[in-house]
Amino acid sequence: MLAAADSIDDDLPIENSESDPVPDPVDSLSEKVMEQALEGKLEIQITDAVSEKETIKFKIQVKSDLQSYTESRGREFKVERTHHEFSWLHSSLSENQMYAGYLIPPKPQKPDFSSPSKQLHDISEKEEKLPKEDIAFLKTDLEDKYLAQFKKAVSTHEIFLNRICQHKILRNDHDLRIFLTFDGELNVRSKNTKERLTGWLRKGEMAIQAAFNDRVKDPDPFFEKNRVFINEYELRIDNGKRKSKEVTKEYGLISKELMAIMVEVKRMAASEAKNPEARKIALERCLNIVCRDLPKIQKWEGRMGSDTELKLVDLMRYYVAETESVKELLIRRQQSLDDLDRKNRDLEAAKIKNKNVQHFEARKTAAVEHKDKLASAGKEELVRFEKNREEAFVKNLEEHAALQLKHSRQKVNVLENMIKALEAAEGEL
Amino acid sequence: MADLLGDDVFGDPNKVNAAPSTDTSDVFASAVSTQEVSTPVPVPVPVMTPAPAVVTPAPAAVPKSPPKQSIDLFADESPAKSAAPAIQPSNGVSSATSGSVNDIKVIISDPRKAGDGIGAFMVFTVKTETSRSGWGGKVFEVNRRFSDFLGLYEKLAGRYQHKGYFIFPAPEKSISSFTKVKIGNEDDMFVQRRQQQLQRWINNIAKHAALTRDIDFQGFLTQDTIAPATSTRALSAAGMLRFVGKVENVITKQVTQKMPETDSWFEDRAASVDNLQAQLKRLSMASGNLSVHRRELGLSSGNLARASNMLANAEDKQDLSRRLANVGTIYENLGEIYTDLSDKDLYDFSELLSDQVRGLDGIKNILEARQKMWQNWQSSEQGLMKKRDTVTRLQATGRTEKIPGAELEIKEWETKAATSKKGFEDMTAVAKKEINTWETQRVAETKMFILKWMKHMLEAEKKVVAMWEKYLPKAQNVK
Repeated sequence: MLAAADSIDDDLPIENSESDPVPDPVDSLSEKVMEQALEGKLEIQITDAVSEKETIKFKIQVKSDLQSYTESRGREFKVERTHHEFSWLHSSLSENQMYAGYLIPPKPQKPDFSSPSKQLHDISEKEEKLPKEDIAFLKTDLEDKYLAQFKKAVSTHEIFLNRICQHKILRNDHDLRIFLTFDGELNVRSKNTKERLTGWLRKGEMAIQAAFNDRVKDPDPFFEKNRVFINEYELRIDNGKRKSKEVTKEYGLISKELMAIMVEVKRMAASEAKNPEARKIALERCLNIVCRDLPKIQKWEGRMGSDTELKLVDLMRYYVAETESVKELLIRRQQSLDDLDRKNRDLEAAKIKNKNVQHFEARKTAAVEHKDKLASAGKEELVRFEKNREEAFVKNLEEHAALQLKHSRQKVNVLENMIKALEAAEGEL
Repeated sequence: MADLLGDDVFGDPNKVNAAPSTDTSDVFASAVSTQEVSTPVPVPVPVMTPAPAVVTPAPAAVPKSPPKQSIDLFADESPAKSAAPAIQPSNGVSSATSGSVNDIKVIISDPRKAGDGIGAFMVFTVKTETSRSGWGGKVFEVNRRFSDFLGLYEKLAGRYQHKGYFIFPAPEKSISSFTKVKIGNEDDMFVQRRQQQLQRWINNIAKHAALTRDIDFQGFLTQDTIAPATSTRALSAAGMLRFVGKVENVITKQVTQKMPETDSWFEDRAASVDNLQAQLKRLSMASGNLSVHRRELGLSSGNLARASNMLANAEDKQDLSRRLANVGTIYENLGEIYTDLSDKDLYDFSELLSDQVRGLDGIKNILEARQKMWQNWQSSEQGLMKKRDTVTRLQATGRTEKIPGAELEIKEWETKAATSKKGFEDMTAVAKKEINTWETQRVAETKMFILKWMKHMLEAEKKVVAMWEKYLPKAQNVK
């Protein structure tokens, strides 16, 4: 379910949706959770994206035979959505009480193209100072990076949307339907006050989270286990994300310095060609060999970094967000318990006063229902989370290792050939 | 003539004790010395200072007979010397200077801090092994501080720069090093770098046949105590100024006149040296940055290893936990490989380039000294002309009684002019050889260290491949 290595065209294993509603025995769940139990077709694909000033617009291809879709837009249609609109969909789902027992797929990261486009600008400024082929090289390199980021933005948004469309409950959401069918911009910009409100809510949530961390045990051992786990996991996965990010950053910087060295060696080769002492030992020929092969080393070094980014950093980054969703679900679980507690106390009080007992009885029953519904949906989701986590890690770690080995072997290959060429240059003298 | 005596006699202690043929590694020096022995010694040696005591035993081996080891002969401020640069058979000079020797090996170790606060400084152990006889031993061990190295350089530069020798400039005292030592911020990287720098420097000097015959060079390596370097205390820029001043003292200061370069060989050198230096500086910087980032990669790989192990501990899926622990293991190993490679980038590549940058300062010093030698010659020619004018004027005005005196002065100035002309010509010949030798060495060294750099990268990458090969089967999904 994570961005596959090189292309958005790769088949992305999408987190599977609901199983039959088997409420309790958790163990029996795991086998069934992966089964599809979806009625009707709702498929999306992001076919293209256009970069605009502030954001990018994703072109979404929708295929559906659901009546609510076909009657307004037909079986197949396209719609354009910005990142803001994705963001809106995410918060709309998160805030909906009906989905309290479900993991809301994490919001895709806001695409940021400022750094490659800024670098591209810097290069254009240096254009006169550097040799043409170096500029060309740097430009291609940056364009590649830009493209990679672009693809990544597309794939993360697609994964987000796909997960919703494949989710037994969430796919029927009203706002999702608006998101996918409304032809025109959704009016989500005017939510300044709303944003402020959510900001405030967030703060409230933080306080709840703090309470969640030191909270007394959950009476249900399954939720208790998950609560303990997620508290530890949250910090460590975030640490892993940051540390792996630092590693990829250094690969990038090494690759950059290798380029800088290449540029200097090239200049040196040009001036040593005029030096009789250097010509005697074919130094300029050696330097030219280095110039020829250093970009290849640089390339593999860069790939070691960018694939670590794709396979390791993105994996961890995704699980940081996923962990956040899990935590939110567990907080909602706690809230449902707290709520039931309150309703019980209210009922007791009402019984003592013998006033409105029926009303409070009904409220308590509703709270019990809410708690139970949330618990059974939540258990399914958490089991699936664990299973998917294992699969995603195993898959990505294996791919990561295979790619690193491949690139490292390529580097050895280039270096061996270069050394051979350098030694041959010596031999020719 | 005194200075000639000083240089030559001091020249090669070997010749006194051993037949030239016994020391095969010292062919050049021996050849020179044989010739120098035949040079008549016109001035009796004034003072005999006792041979310096050495750390290692065998003081008996210190020859009492080579009596000419008198320090005062070297007094470089001596006006006699500055007025009359060495007159030597030019073939003798060239064989002396282009000769490189390989019989002195110096190892610098145990950097440690001495003193406190503002008076704190670094002390190094300087171990020397030599097959040279006449040094009174084969192995020496002394303690030297950084400024001692600078002091040695200044002495050598003051004494030999005007002869056209290539004297490798000593590593610079930098403000950052100043604060590092004084404030006591123990920076291992910095200290290690400095130690290596000094070791490369002293061994570079030790390859120059003529410089190794200097009494202070020998003293630096062999004597327990040496006079503290007084003029090196301040920062390097001031030190350089002082050095320039010294060269000016050696060569009588007169009207400075721009030297019209008639030798196209020197013209080419002067034109290319700045360009080459700038180029090497940039390459040295880029490779230094490479080393820095490799070190950072090593560190961050280690951090990732720890993060991954922590994640493995939290993970309740056992199989996944084991896999994450394996990620920890591989990144820990990768971290070590990268850190090791970072050292090699630094010491076998970047630092050698920055040595070359400094070496080019040495070449610039030669070119500058040659200009001063030329100016020296020009001013004596001008002096001679003036004297001749005086005689003409005296003859015209009929004051014949003053003519004999003036003619005597003309004679003096003629000698002076001839001497300084010869000095310039000899120096030019030596300079050419020295610069050529250095250039040959530089290109060979460049080629060598580029190849070495690649080999280090290959060696490291092979280890990386082996790591991933070992790790991959464990990461593979067996299900």
